Amino acid sequence: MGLHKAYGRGSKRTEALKSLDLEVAPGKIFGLLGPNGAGKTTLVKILLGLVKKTKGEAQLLGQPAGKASVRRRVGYLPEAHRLPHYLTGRQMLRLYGMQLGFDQAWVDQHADQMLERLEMLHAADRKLREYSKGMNQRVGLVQALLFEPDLVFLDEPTDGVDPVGRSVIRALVSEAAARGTTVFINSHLLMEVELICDDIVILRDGEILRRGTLDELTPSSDQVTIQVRPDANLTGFEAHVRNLTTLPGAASTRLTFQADDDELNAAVDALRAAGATLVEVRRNRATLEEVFIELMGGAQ
Amino acid sequence: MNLLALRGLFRDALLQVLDNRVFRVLLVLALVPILATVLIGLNDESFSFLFGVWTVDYPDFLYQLGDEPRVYLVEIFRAAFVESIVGSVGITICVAATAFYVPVMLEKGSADLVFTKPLSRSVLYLSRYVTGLIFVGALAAFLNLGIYLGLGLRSGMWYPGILWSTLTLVYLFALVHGVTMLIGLLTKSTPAAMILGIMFFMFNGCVHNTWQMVEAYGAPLDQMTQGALAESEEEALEDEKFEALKTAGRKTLNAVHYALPKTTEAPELVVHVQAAFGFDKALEARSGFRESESERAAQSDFENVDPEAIFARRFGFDAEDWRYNAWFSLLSSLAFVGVVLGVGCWRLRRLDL
Repeated sequence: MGLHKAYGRGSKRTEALKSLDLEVAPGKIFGLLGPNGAGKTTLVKILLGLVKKTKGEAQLLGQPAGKASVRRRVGYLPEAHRLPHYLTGRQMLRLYGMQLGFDQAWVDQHADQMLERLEMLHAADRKLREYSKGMNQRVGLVQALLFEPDLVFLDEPTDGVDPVGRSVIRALVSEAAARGTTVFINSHLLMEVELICDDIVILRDGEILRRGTLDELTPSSDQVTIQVRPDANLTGFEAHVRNLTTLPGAASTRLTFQADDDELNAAVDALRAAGATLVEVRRNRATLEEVFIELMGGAQ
Repeated sequence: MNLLALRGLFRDALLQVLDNRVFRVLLVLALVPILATVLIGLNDESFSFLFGVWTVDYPDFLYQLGDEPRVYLVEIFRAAFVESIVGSVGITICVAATAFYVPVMLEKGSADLVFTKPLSRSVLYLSRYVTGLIFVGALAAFLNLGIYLGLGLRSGMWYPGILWSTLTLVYLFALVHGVTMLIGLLTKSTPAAMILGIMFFMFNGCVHNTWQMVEAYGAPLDQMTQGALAESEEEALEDEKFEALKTAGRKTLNAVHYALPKTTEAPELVVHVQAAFGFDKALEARSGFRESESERAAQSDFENVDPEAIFARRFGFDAEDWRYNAWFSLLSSLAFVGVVLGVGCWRLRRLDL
């Protein structure tokens, strides 16, 4: 509450966070978005005790942020993380496990399953310095999620991971949330955020610009797209709708226009009456990326 | 902070050391002197090269030192090689090889992972100190145990003094590693920590050696110049200025010597610790060697006096002059290390990562 962070002094003073008020409910997947320099990383680092706040109050899991007892219950995957390269993947998990109070037997028993799902079991006994970027990302995610955290911060969790791996990561994150873990995701891949987050905050210049669920941030528009077979007779269709644009194609013709629900039904009836075969009917919705760009552009 | 976490940190330190390339290279280099103790046997009265292929009688001066020339040979080897060469060149390499510990720990991406675990920053900082000690301790133990076994198996000479040298080397490194770490913490730069750490080690040695020289030569020089009368008023004024400068210089040197960790005293200190634990053969051998040195010195002018030998004769746990008391050497050095580590912990606790 009222969280404030300033770096530097005098003319070099930069305010990374400006009296930020933010509360996140347990068990949610929370997306933290914003352009570079918005204050996302500073916020996460204050919550983890890596950076000291200038003013305000920060609590995690009901306790002051940064306390050792809180850090024990938190998992973290930093962006561009550097795991101890002199260890193997398994040794690293054992080390972090021991630091969090889990003995070697527990780690060995539980790590294999997660490593297997991320297709990392074969490399578990190889030195981390031999891992590719994607492998580092996967094993980094394992160390963040393995030790049953109540809260986990994931900074660009799918960075450098192939599409199949991304899908597994999304599944693991969703499963963690289903078990009651609160997940903070900080990502520039807004499609990923759209697919997974329950609640989203957009930060800019250390302040909250917008907050809401995906539906709240990207409400449906009155724009509709209907795709019909290319052989459809569309003569006179423009009379039934507003602002029609037609995009012919080899597989289908795309008709985009503005319509409320009644107008949409009337348009569909008109097409069917003309003998057109409908391939797809979709009410258009702005993507999170479009909303984000609009917000940032508006700001400029 | 539980035992499991401590065990984890210790294991991490060990694995980090074993993975280090410089460590492995030094380990291989340590095989050279070990091999030498196998190839060169020490009989009662002669060297035996290549398992008796060639034997050479000991030089006469060894018999003048006492009736166990082999002990003197081993002590000379220990003082010249283990303590002087390994204690200077070897420790310098180790300072350089471990200088990256703190800067790398503080790098973005690494610090985020290290410092979000439920361990205090001080514990994590001190764990890097222990890692350095393991680095040097393992190397020193390997070297000295190898030499000990080589001497024992080849020459039948089971001489525990060699094993005590491990303590000397670890103690020596422990005195400077905290400084390298602090520089690494303040600069977050491995090259800076490496260069400044080595410079500190060298500067430290220079200060203590200079102090020993001033202690040895200062009084005789003062006596020599005391009687000289100034020929003019101007000369008397110049003499006064020089005296003031000399006094200020000595006071500064004393203050710096007392404050800094006494690295040059480490071998002597450990020999006295050995004696306190019942192994006084090394102390006896070194004293015998010095006796003959001082006899030679007494026959010539004072320029032949060895400052190190003078210091060693005065040094001990029961020395009445506190400046030569081993307790002062030990406690003031440990206090310095404690302060340096304390400043490092304090600084790290306040650092935004």
